[in-house]
Amino acid sequence: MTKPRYEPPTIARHARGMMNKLARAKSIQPMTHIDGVAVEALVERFGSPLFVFSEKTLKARHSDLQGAFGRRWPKVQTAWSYKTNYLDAICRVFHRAGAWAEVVSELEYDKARRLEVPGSRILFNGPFKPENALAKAFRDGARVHLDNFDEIQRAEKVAREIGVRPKVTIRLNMTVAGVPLWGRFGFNLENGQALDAVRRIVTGGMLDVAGLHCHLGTFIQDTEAYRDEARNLAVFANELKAELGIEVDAIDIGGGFASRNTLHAQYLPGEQTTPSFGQYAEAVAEGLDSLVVEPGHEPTLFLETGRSLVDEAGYLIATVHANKRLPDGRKSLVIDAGVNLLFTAFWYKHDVVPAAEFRGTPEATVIHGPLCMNIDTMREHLLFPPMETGSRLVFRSVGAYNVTQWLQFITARPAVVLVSTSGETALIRHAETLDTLVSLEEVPEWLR
Amino acid sequence: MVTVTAERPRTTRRFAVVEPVLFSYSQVLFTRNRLVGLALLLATLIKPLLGAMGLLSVLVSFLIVRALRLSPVFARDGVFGYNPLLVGLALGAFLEPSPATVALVVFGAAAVVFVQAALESLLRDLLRLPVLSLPFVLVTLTLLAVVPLVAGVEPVSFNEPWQMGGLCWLPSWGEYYLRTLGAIFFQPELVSGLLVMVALLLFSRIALLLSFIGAAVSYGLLVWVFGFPTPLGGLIVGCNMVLTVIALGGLWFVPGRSAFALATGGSLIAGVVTVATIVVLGRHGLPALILPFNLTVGVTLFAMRQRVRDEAPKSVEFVSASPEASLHYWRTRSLRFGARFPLRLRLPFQGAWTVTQGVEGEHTHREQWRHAWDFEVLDSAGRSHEGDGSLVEQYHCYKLPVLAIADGTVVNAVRNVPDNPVGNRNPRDPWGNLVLIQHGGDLFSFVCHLALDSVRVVEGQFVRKGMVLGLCGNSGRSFVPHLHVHFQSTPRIGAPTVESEFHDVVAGNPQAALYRFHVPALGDTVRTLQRQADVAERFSFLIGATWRFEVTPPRGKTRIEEVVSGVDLYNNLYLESKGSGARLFFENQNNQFVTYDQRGPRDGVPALLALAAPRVPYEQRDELRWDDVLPRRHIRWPLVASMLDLVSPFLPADNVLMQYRAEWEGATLVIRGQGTAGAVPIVTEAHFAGEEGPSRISVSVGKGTLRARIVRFVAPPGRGDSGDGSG
Repeated sequence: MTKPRYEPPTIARHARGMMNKLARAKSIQPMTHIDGVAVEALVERFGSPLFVFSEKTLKARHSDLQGAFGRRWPKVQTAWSYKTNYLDAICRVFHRAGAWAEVVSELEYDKARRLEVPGSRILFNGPFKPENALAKAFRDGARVHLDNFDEIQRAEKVAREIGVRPKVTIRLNMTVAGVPLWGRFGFNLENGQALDAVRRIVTGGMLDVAGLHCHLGTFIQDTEAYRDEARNLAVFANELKAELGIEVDAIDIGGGFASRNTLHAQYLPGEQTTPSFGQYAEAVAEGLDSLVVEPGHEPTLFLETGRSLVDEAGYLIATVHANKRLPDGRKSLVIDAGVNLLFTAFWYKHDVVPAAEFRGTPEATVIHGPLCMNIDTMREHLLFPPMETGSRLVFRSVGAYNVTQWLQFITARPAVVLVSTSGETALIRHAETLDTLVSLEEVPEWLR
Repeated sequence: MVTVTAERPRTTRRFAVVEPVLFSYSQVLFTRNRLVGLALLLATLIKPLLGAMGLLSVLVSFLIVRALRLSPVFARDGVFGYNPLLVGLALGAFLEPSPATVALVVFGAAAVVFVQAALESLLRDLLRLPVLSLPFVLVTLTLLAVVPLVAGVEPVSFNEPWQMGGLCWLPSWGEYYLRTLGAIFFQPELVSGLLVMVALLLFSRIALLLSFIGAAVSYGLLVWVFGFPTPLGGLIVGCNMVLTVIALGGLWFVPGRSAFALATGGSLIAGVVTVATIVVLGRHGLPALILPFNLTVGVTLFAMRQRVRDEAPKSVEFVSASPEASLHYWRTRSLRFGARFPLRLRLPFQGAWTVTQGVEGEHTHREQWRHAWDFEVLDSAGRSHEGDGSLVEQYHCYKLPVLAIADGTVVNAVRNVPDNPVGNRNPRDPWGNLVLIQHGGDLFSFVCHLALDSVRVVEGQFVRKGMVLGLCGNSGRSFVPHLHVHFQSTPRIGAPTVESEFHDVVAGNPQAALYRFHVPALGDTVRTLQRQADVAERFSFLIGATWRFEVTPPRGKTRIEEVVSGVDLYNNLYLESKGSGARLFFENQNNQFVTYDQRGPRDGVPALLALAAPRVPYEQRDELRWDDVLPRRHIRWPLVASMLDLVSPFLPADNVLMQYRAEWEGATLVIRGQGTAGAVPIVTEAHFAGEEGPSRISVSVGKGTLRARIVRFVAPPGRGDSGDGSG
């Protein structure tokens, strides 16, 4: 029989089960398994820290998104936003489910082509597309989203050189209630720039305008914004048809749907404030009702939402390295994963739970990463039970942006694994080593 | 450059008379076939003088057709020729040859064209009945009735043509059969009968089989019922019965057990009617001719129209070139496309919904309302609602758009029934808010339980397929929001439901199988095919485009085949192989590419395409699979295929079941198919590179592989900017 563990005494105000006007104090439930696979077994096999993705959740989110919009608009096509998470395996899960690719750089474009996505199923977005990239996209029949007048001219030049007449989509920006204007991307709708751009392209005679795109912003929890966006796009499409005889085949409402995460500035938890796909879809469909179109000839509605598809499918397993008491009385946990891996810790109050049953009363805790940097705080404040060193923690909803924006800083980046629908586990990215780090380096002759 | 279209008119001019003459002969056996016509012409020429009368009559009729400016299409196909032919033959057989007889034949030929034109207007246009040989019967009887009063025309001693017989080497039934066939052309000679039999064999093995049945039944009827001392005394009875059995069992109904039973019954009636006619007309010295056949077929067709369901035997919508063609057409059509209604019916919603009560469902889809479906929306976790499901607003399907199933007119729309709270039903208005649409004649579609004030259409409004009718709700006898759908045959609310299916349905989870027609079952998650432009543009097959293929057969050497895309007078699109004239008909529908008949030789590119891409949905998903049923006779040896025709009406369809899927290889769409014909594996592959369409096709049957590879593509004029494809 093992000796009971010593728990240092703390004094906490008795508040169990107390109600406030919004919700009951949430009790912490440990997460011992991810899709039926034990957290402890995963760490044993692949080490800690460890990113884990659930194929089941990826598929479910995609099917719910496709379903919610597909039941309200006759032609709906999802395009996987590569920048959110472009691990090959993740992209393949979405492509298998029918998603096209939405890329914002030549590198991403090449990655999509490498994954055998046909050019005709790639949306090429973003403010920076060199001539080479445009030529590649036009040859493959990809749909390029034009961002500015210089790009129109560049696209025309490339089209003339390679002898094709590509269909293009133009990107718009617009003011809708409740969302700050993202004016730096695309052509402004309200001041007439967008119509000018279309007229300019028609006059150029080298490209065909066939789609409209707008991306309102990010983590937008107000569905009204999408209603306005869709209506504005529909009205603009009507205008193009009436004035220039242009019928668009694609209306791309971009992304920006919120995931279930909670922003730092947010009071209520994300689970309560984030609209369902159905609610977003309802708003978009109502907005698109303004489109004047014959049944059967509706343009395809493109969805580029990345975060809300992948965020909930991603987990980060970390291990408690040390316990300490801070001068302000709070408890601090030092864990082996920091903000270099969990970039989104700067935005969200990430949902984190122990990976095993625990004892003791939750108390005010800070979770710190392993970096020798003051900014390395994973959670600034939460009520957390006492943790022994070596205990595992699971950060939930970390699937978006982290494995693309993570930094190789001080430590090597850890492995990423995927748990399949049937419960198998596979490594989808190896843990980096020192060799990975130095493989690209060269030492000049004189320093050898 | 010599094109196929440039050659056509020359051909037509050279055979401007020969072909219609031959067709006039073959039309007696209900077909338009040169070889059949030739065999029949020879059969009539066994008695040269008699045959000459027939030929003369046909030629005279052409002049009359031209003078009256009757339909040149009918004239070309011999439709106006077979009645004059029979008149000529009949007068030649019944009257002694003389100048006056010739004059009478000329008059008869002219008269019969006129009568036929009249009957075409009356029977075909007004009553939807075939004219058959009624004009011949009417004119011949009329002329024979006046013959005793015409100077210079002498009737042949009446018994003479029927008294042949006495060939000991043939059994009596064999002789009877051949003479009966010959007697149809007023030549009850064995050689004539043999030639007619050859014509029948060429025309259709099924018709030949039917002629055996007709002859056998008539033989029995004559000998055992009417007690004829020799059946040869009643050849006219046999003629009528054989013609009736062929017409009913092979032409106007799809060949099969039930059609054969109907035809046998019909032939018995024809037999009895013939004997009665002989008795009645014989009193006036007139022959029965084939009047009984005409009467029996007409009566049967009229009678069968009263059936509730046109099944077993299925009447044909148009008469095919042969019973075989008819059989294969209907089998293929019902297996490939579902032939219940001529309309293509879409699911009444967008996206994927799940059947929560199907046909013969356990709750309300019972008895006369059994052919109905309830649909709800389930999410990835299999739940129909968010939260606790206590409010209608929490249900995924609530307020989703409900669409028109096909074009039609709204005959009833109810909009003001309130939505029930979850768990309650409305006892007064069981259907709640509803829309009833009439699609053509007697097909009505019905959707109900729509949300309060959501119905957007009004009575009398014409709606297009896919238009939004209203929103899904919870009105009427509905405990949770769902959509009820059924079809009925009258405009009454609450009328009995009728059986139906939906078209172009993707079903399964994951959404993996595409059905051309589908009856959704309980638990099925179904949606409509969604068009993707990048797939569709590979199947544009612009009219006038040409492809030059290098074709490599399993044995033998590589050849070049040029294929052109065109459209015929009836607006049918086709691909034609320039050398062989082989044609594949296809349709470019909104959401898929479909091929239909293939005519001509089966070793070229059109045949390859028909096997490798008989249908391609304009939606590519890696997991999407679709089946197609291909007639196996297309890959059998022709001789084996024609011998199988004899038994094919009694066997299940002789088909190859193929399964296809589509994949991208770079910018190339690759359609892969596999199936088996008996024990022989069939593997197909078709590449569609871009706007120029097919670039590579291969079909392997067993170990042999036929391959085609594009060497040059020429876009039609006016689309020249895309220029040559691959080089």
